[in-house]
Amino acid sequence: MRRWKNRIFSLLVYGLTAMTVLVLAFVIYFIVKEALPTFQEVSVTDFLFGQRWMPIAYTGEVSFGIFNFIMATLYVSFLALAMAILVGIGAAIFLSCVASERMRGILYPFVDLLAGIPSVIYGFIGLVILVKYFIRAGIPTGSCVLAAGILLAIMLLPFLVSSCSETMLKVKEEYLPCAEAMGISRWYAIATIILPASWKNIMMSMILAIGRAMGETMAVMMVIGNANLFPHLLGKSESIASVIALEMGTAVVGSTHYHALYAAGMVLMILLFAINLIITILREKLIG
Amino acid sequence: MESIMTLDRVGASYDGKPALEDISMEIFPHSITAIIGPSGCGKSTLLRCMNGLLKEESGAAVSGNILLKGQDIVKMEPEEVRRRVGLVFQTPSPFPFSIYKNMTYALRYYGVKDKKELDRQVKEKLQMAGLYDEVAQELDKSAHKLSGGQQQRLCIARALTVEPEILLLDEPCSALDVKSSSVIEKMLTQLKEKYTIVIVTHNIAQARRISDHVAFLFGGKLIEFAPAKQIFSQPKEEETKAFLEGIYG
Repeated sequence: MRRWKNRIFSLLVYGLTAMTVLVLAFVIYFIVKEALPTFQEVSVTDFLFGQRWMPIAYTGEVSFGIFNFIMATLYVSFLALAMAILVGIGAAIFLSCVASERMRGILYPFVDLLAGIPSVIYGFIGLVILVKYFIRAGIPTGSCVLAAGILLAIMLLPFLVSSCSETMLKVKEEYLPCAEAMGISRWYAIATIILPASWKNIMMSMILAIGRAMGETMAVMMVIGNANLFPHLLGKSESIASVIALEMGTAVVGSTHYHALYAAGMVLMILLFAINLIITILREKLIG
Repeated sequence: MESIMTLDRVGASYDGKPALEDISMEIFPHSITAIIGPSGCGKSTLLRCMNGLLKEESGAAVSGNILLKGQDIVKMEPEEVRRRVGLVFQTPSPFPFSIYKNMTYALRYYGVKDKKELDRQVKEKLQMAGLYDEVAQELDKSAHKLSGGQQQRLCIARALTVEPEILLLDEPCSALDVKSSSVIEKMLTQLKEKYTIVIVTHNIAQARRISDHVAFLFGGKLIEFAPAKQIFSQPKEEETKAFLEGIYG
């Protein structure tokens, strides 16, 4: 009886694990399967480096080039990270090294709460508040890459703050007492021991954050303006994720347009895989 | 003998709960004072009073007077107290730098920039800690690659770089094996020529081997404070006797 129970249990565990792996495999399979027909019509180079995206022949020829979308995705993500990392590290230093344990207990839930807000709400706030400021500042319609970057930075913050402050707290508990026991001031120790010692982990969180930023759809779509233009700080642009979300509903199933959107998704996926691969390699090299 | 540090009716509490009561004792220069007692009797708390670390912990309060060469440590800058009264912790925790950088970290902070002087200090302090011969060829190696015993000696050497007048050690050998412990004990007996040492230990044999004076703490009170010879041969108090005979853990 026991043997049977064990066998059933282990089969169940194997089965569930296989299911998870299969889901991923199927996702990849379907995306690739739906994406490949694109390249019968468009060459890979034209697709990746073409700047004209004209899926339906209203005027002249159809064209499928996603270069601007790729650049916008990268631009917005790195812009957001650059803004978020400064604030994030500052907040993490405060939470881990300055705030008392009680204060940390009060502040942490707020950071977590920030992470729990759905992205459409962020997008909405961006649209109602952020974009209005940009209009007032003289940007026509207010939608721009910078607005999307700021919004995305706010969305990345809770993740960066909590992962950085966790690392720093551990490092601080290990090294700060020793430094203070030699009469060294707290701020000097933070700058010369705690930050350098946390650097590798901060790098890791940065790369993970980039991955999240690139896949973010809703909030970015709501404020970036969605125009197929090469990204400039104060100009409109459109990210891969927003193209897919905006056009998938209207693309005729089986058309080149439809396949091209899948192909764009595949490119986004490959970008994310590449970043994840970099994480793994870096982690092995840096942390060992 | 003139004492270097005087504790006068020192008390301490955490969140209103008393941890130490009415401790009066003296630390004599160029000697090793061992603080012994069962777990939770307040040994480490007393040590942390001596360099002013305790009163900065949240919820902790310290009463009484602690005089360092006649000067009340409450009236001194906390950084100065800690520079003059060094503390080495139970678990060795070298900074995540090279051995050399660990040794020069505090010196640079205090403004020593001359490379020759830094080199000289590093060599001298590592020699004092009995570590120099083992690491002389690999000062650029990460300090984390050293063995536990070597790491602890590095931490002691590092604490010496700021030339403390008193060196406090909080159970420095409890995370180490017997051989590393005996190396450290030998080093401490040599260090007392130049420094004053206060060591917290729950190892009675260790206290017997190295100390000149012994303070026996029990339940937050100082039960007996006497020269080591006297306390180990003829303890006056019943509790001391019972502890030395191994009745309390």
